[in-house]
Amino acid sequence: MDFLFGNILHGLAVAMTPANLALCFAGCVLGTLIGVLPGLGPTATVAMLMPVTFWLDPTGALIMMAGVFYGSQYGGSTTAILVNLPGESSSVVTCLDGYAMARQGRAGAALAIAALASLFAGTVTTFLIAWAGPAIASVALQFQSPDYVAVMVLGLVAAVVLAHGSVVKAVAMILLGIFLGLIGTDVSTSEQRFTFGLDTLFDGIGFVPLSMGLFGLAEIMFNLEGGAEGNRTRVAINRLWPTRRDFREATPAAVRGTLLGCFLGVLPGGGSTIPSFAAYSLEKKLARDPSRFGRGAVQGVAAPEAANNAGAQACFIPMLSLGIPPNAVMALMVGAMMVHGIQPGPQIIQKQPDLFWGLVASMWIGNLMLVVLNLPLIWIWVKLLEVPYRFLFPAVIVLCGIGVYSLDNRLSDVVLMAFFGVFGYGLRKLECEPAPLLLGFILGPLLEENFRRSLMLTGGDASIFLTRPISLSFLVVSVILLAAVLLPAFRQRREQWTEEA
Amino acid sequence: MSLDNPSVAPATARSRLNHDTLSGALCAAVGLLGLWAGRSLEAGTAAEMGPGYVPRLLCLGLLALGLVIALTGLRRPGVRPGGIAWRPLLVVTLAVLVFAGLLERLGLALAVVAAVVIAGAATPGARTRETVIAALVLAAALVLIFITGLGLPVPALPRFDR
Repeated sequence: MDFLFGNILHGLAVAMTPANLALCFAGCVLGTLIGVLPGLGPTATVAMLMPVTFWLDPTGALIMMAGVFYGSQYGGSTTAILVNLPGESSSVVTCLDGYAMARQGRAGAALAIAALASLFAGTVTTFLIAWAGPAIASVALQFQSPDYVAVMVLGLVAAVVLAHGSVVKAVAMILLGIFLGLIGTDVSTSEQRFTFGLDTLFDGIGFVPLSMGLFGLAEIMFNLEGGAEGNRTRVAINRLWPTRRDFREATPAAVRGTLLGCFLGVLPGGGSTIPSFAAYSLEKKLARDPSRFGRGAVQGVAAPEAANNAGAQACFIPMLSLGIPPNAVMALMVGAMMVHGIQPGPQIIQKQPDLFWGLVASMWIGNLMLVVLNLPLIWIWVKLLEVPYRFLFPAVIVLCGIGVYSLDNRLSDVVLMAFFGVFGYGLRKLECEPAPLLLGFILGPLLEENFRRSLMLTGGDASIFLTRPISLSFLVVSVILLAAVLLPAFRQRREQWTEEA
Repeated sequence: MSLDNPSVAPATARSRLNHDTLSGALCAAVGLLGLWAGRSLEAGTAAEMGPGYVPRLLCLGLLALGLVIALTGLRRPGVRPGGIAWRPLLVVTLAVLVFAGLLERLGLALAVVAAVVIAGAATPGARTRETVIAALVLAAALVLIFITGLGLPVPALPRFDR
């Protein structure tokens, strides 16, 4: 335990430097700002703001990106409560009871409950990361190539299980992502692959133009389908502080939501959407009077808000301790690390203690900042809701352009982003999820390298994957997961979850 | 996610040209393209994989999966993909390309103004004056942030001395 607190103190020292505090704050503000605006989810927000962080040192950059991530998560809940518009899928359930409370004139209490439940969840999860991250990493340091192959397969399978819609299509999207990741110069033989003689592609497709096109531009095109206007009804905010009865009802719900969020968030493929749905249905099952849900039940706000915040932070654990991103936002984080020349993986905690502990501590500070940002300053965000989309999206387009260009000062990257914008729009039209594609793209090169190395060590004998206990257990879990998705009973349940999401 | 977009085409027409058929065909086509484009890459053996080993495996996988998806689509006629909103698609893409074309030649300010004015046409109902004002304000802010502040190596305005 001493060791744990020592490390957290070390992290606080890193995170409390004026520069990092400012970055954390800037990240939270920017994230909330964009999260409040409907239509741009956390993935798009992080993708768009990522290039701004390339000027910073790696620790500062990750602190800011993390701030953007949970800030945008938070902003989504605010709009869910105030105007019944979930900024992202993870705050969809918050709409149900949050907006109901707002209509009863208890918007302030709903906002406060959401903020405090999130803060509680964030605090617990910060300690979980500090405790579990190094433990998992120390196991992972013994991983060899076959084990890495197996753990990546598990990560990809989990992404398939939790993707929306068809399983087969999600697998196809992963393969497509891996294929895009192969383009460029082969690392082992330095031979050109699939570059079609284009200089731009010699170093491979850039991660930034790909993700900003797929998530940023495509999202804008999609949002503009319905025109750039929108009318919203507003609710007044009066009293901020919840009553004592609210606290009594919300506290156990927030605790359960946090636990559920931590658990579901750590799993590969995890994130914040499924925990929030699961927490809501759990509360509804446990409640003495389930009919109150949907009519302004405090638990219906506290539990999902705690769960989505816990889930959002818990998914940092596999990303930081294994270097394997469990979802698209974490894939963006891994990509940002690589841009800074840091190889993600279990060695990070030992080699870059400032980065790891600083990031962990900054998450807790960031959660605190969010409460301050969202309670007393709520009127700013309410005003912001009135900025029309037609002013916003041209600015976002231009920011995407500058961001991609600034990475390497290459115009071809901007053109590539435009291409992937169109491609991403097409994928959405075909109901193909871009998130598995991004995971495949990030993991593809690593997967190939480790696969090649594993078979080189054994002289081409593929049974190595089944004889090493670590890789065998990962593969067994993958097979079970995949089989489970294809079983009818589970399939229905998964469709329910992802349909609601 | 579906909340973002209320204007999907009515789901009445059941067609063989549905999501599955088309996305399956896309994957199969990429698989074929990869096999063809990578035909000269040496595969090597499992113990000594060449640059073509994994790509070939992957493209075969894509081809097979694509065919499976397309066949299910053909067998089970489903909803045709919702109408493509050409206007935002083309206008947003054009705005980005124009931005790329002008950035190094005419400088950041003009590239931003051009891109914003073009992007303004993505939705019907032009409000030219508003858009131009917004474009100028944005251009000034971005020049300050990215060139003055962060030192992005592009000109702010066109230079005529060259």
